Amino acid sequence: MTQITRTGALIDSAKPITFTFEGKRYSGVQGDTIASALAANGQWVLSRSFKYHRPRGILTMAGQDANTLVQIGNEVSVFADRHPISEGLVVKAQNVNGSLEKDRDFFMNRMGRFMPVGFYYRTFYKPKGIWEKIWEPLIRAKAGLGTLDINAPEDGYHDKAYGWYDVVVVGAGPAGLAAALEAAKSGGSVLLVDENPQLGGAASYARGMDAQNLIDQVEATDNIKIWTDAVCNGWFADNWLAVIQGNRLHKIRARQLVLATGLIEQPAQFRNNDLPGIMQGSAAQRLIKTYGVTPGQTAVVLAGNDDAYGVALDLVDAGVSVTVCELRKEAKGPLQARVQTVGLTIHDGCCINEALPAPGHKHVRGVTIAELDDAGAATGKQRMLPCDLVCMSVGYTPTYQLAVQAGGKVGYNDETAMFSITGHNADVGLAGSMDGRYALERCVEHGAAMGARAAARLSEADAPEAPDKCATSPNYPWPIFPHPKGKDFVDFDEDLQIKDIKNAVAEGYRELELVKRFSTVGMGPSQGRHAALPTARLVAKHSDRTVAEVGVTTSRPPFTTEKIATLAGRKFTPMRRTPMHAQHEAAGAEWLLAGNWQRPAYYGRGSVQRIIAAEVNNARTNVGMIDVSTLGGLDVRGPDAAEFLNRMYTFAYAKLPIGKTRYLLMTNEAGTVIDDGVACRIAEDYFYISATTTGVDNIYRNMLWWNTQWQLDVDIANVTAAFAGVNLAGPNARKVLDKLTDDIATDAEDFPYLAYREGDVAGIPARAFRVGFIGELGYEIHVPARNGAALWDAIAEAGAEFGIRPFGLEAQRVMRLEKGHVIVGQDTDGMTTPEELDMTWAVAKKKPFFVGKRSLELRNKTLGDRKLVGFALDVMPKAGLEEGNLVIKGNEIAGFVTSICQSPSVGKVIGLAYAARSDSGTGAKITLRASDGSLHQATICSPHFYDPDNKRQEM
Amino acid sequence: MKLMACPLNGPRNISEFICHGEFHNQPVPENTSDKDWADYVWLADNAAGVVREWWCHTPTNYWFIAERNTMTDEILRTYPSDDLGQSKETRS
Amino acid sequence: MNNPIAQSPFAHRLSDTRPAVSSGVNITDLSALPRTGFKGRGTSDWLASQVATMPAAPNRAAFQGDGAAIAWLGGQEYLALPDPEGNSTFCASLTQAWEKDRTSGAQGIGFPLPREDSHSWLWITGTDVPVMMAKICGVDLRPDVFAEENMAQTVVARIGAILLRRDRDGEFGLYMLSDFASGHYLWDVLQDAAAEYDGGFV
Repeated sequence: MTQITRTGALIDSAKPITFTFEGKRYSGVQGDTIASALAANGQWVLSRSFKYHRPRGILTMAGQDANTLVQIGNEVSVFADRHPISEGLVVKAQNVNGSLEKDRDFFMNRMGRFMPVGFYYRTFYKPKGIWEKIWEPLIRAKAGLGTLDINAPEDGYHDKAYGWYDVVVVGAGPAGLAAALEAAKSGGSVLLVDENPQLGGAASYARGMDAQNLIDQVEATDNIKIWTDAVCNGWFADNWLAVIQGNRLHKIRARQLVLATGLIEQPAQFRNNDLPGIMQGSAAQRLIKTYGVTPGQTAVVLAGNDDAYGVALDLVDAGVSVTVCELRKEAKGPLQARVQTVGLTIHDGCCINEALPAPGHKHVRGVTIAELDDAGAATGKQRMLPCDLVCMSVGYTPTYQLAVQAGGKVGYNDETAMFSITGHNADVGLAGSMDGRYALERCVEHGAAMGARAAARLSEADAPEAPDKCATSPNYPWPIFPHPKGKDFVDFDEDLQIKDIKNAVAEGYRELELVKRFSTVGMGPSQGRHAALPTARLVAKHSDRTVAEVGVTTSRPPFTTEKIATLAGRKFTPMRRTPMHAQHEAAGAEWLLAGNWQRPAYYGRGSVQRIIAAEVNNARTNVGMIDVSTLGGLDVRGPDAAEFLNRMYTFAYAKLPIGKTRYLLMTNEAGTVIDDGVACRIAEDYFYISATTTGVDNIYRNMLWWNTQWQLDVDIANVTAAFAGVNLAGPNARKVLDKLTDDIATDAEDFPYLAYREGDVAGIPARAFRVGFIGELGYEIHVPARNGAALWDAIAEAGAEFGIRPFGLEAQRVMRLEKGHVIVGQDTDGMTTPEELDMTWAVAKKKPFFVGKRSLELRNKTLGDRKLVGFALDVMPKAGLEEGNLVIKGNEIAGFVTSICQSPSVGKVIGLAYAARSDSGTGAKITLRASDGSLHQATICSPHFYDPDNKRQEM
Repeated sequence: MKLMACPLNGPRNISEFICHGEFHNQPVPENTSDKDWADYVWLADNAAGVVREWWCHTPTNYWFIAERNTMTDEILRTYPSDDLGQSKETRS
Repeated sequence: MNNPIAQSPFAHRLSDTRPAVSSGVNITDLSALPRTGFKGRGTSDWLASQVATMPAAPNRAAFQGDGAAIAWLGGQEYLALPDPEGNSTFCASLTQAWEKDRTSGAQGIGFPLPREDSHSWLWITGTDVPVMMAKICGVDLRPDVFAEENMAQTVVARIGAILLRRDRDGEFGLYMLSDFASGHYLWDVLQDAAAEYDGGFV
């Protein structure tokens, strides 16, 4: 059956290409798809069906059905009728147990009666536990298409791009071409998108249709951009389109959209309608015209419309002998007259009752046809017609998916037996056959009108009149011929038969959405493209309603399959570095992320516990330095600066002297603690304040929001990235700083605890202040970001003689926990009040207002029954205790551990936890539950574990 | 992706914005009963229909008001909060 | 003390640059140049008293005779940029003038912003820049839509950025000012996006 010379629009017979399918070598030509090349070689079986493992082959040649899904390398579910072949391509069949030719699961074909519709829902749940033990593993092994190697490397570079067009036209058939041309006359930018490799739509294969003139004009128009092999896979709000071309996902904003997505041809339902060799009429035409493949030798064309005769004549021209089985009793189409002159046999008023399988169901070998009675059902004597090809031309659905996503509702016209779409977004126009204009001239005229409408809407001009819909449609109203023995498939993906839909309705699932969920109809890879129409018709019939009343199920993106890699695109993971990054790297920093900042966790390799302890000890007994550039920084300036801080924070700032700092505690309107920091008063009208690393962006935004309402005369600037900061801390800190500055007096009298000073440090203009931080004598020095590295180097150099060493975030956390400093967000949650933290000292009682004050008054009337406490254990239990472990009281959860560490300075395990208020007194015992469930006693103590009198930091 | 017309920056993808919830005139705390205050802080109206909301264009941290239909998600109008015409003396 | 970061957050990557060639995308690091900003009540009036031309609207820039730009970010907030190819003392003069006025007790003249330290500054030029930017930025920057002097404050590759149309030798160009601390990340993003057009940092 190998065809030597082939002539087709997309292929070049002079360029052979070799590939393998299921381990066997095949030869195709340049331009072939996998399916067309295999068909040219007489290989019609492409896959096995999902449930019954029935052989399946070409149905649409348009990537609309699951029959042609194959696996290429690690990529599963590739459409064989769309994917081009290439030299050495290795293609495998999916859903096969054994081989495609001999599938061990084909016995399932005979098990149909044991798997009635909805059997999933009643079979697998009894007795208790059987699902997990037996069914799930079994079904998991059987279910799914293809096999994935999850360790395989990512396949290629995928990315995304935005795009903006005045008009986007989806579908480059005659209507779309005409629409693009008209729209382009506006002078605006037009994008024409088509999923096929060539322009023309149905005109590229259907008989008697020619769009070459339109194609030539479109290609010659400068402001029309043409994308072929590009699928518009979704419509989203405000004409936002997802268009996939190759490995790129285009996110297109269209001011106006014209959908000219055409029609999807529909199969008829009869017994064994899924055999390889049975295909849509349009599929046969695509094979012949596009790929030069003769789809059979003896054909039966099942005709429900005049398009069938175009198919018949194309087959005759290709050398196929043809018999027509005409469903209509009186068909008078113009092509039918021609067919009769060619001398074909036409059986009027007949249906296909059953297709007869060749051995192993690998191909069709004939059909039996029967006359139709007045009710449209098969009746009387049957006649057998041998054939190796059946072409179905019985009707279409509009390709309504994108229109429905754009808000359209699908209706059904009983006169034309066709779906129609209404109510879609006003900036979307429907053009051509998808909106009821079937004849070529009408279709083109309508496309042009919709293109002109789009152009008119751009300039808010009046849109021209559009031609009326055609009075008749190419849909045969009831191409459904149930067979007593079934296998008359409604949904090929899910192997659902006519009786399954009927039974679903009989079970009480009258609503289509329920039928869908009960039967799984339309839930396969082809998403109901072929099942929606017969399902709606069957549900309507069996629930005594009209098809319009039944409707179709909601259509959501994506329109067709898309890869996860496409959705992922190129990953963007912003990361921020401080100006001292290179210095940390050189010092052997181990990194961690704080927000999106990369910060040193600790320096060096080896026992992490020991490294952290050494960093702590050096800072506590000698001198250490840490990069605090990531800390949020805000300049608050203006006459109302102090008043602004008074309103934003719980403490009082109006009387804070210039050159002094004060702790900042922020609550939200509900009185919950949301941030903390330090305010430095630089001038009467100037505060430099800090905020937490991860909180500052929200805090800044929040401040602007409040002042949008207060309208205080204050300006707030987020200068976080503009300042680099070093905290220099430890008993020898003063000696180090002394070496670096002449401007700033460093002795305790001139630069006492909580003071703020300005001056050059290492020749760099700096803001310096003394705060507790890790609980040692310390200076926080902030300089312009570009000088951060220089400052760091200078301090390291000056400190070298004292054995200064940098410490990381881990050591900082340990030391701050030793001092009982809470970390907002870690030691607080969405309910924490200052009272629970024992921080009412930071709440000014006399201020008339601060954000959260009124709520705290309210909440303080009935205090919650928890409190943040300090606790200690002599040794870490073997099971380990971690942040998040529960505090247990009796049989109840009383709280949880928020911070815990092995303290090098105190020599104990110390931590903070929420515990019952009644257990918050010093010396009380609380019970902690480790992650393995074991319980451990801890003793409540002051959270100021280290130097509780603050002597060291105030030196 | 929806578009939102920022009064400062023009139409932008809605991913550039955050919604800060319903607009309310803040009650004067000391003149408000506990119950009314609790309602104001903890209860949202969640009205079905056209509501006024606070939105922020995050790259500029620009705050403004949007009128949005919560039934259809249609954004009817956006404008600077100055245009609310309310008295600025919520606090004294 | 001769630290490269003092010049630019991209300094440590500059060895990865390629020689300037005629290409669709050329990225020039201007971060070592001066720049400043002003913000707060009274800024508009004060700036107007200092410069020849003020921007007509927010998100517009006004180029002065010497090629320096005053970019209006909205409200009472402005950015001041010298001409990259000139030898401008534009920013220094503004800063001095502000300090002088401030010292003499002027109120309501806004406040300076440390833009040299908060923002990196790139000049991205070439005919393919709009299509390259479309891969990392959701604002339409096509030349006929995003005219000279237009600005967009938006998101580029998930970080905030200020874009200002400034052509170079008749070729499409954008100033891009973005987070100083994200320089390393931004470098990788831009090199990757420009590779398709044989472009990159020069």
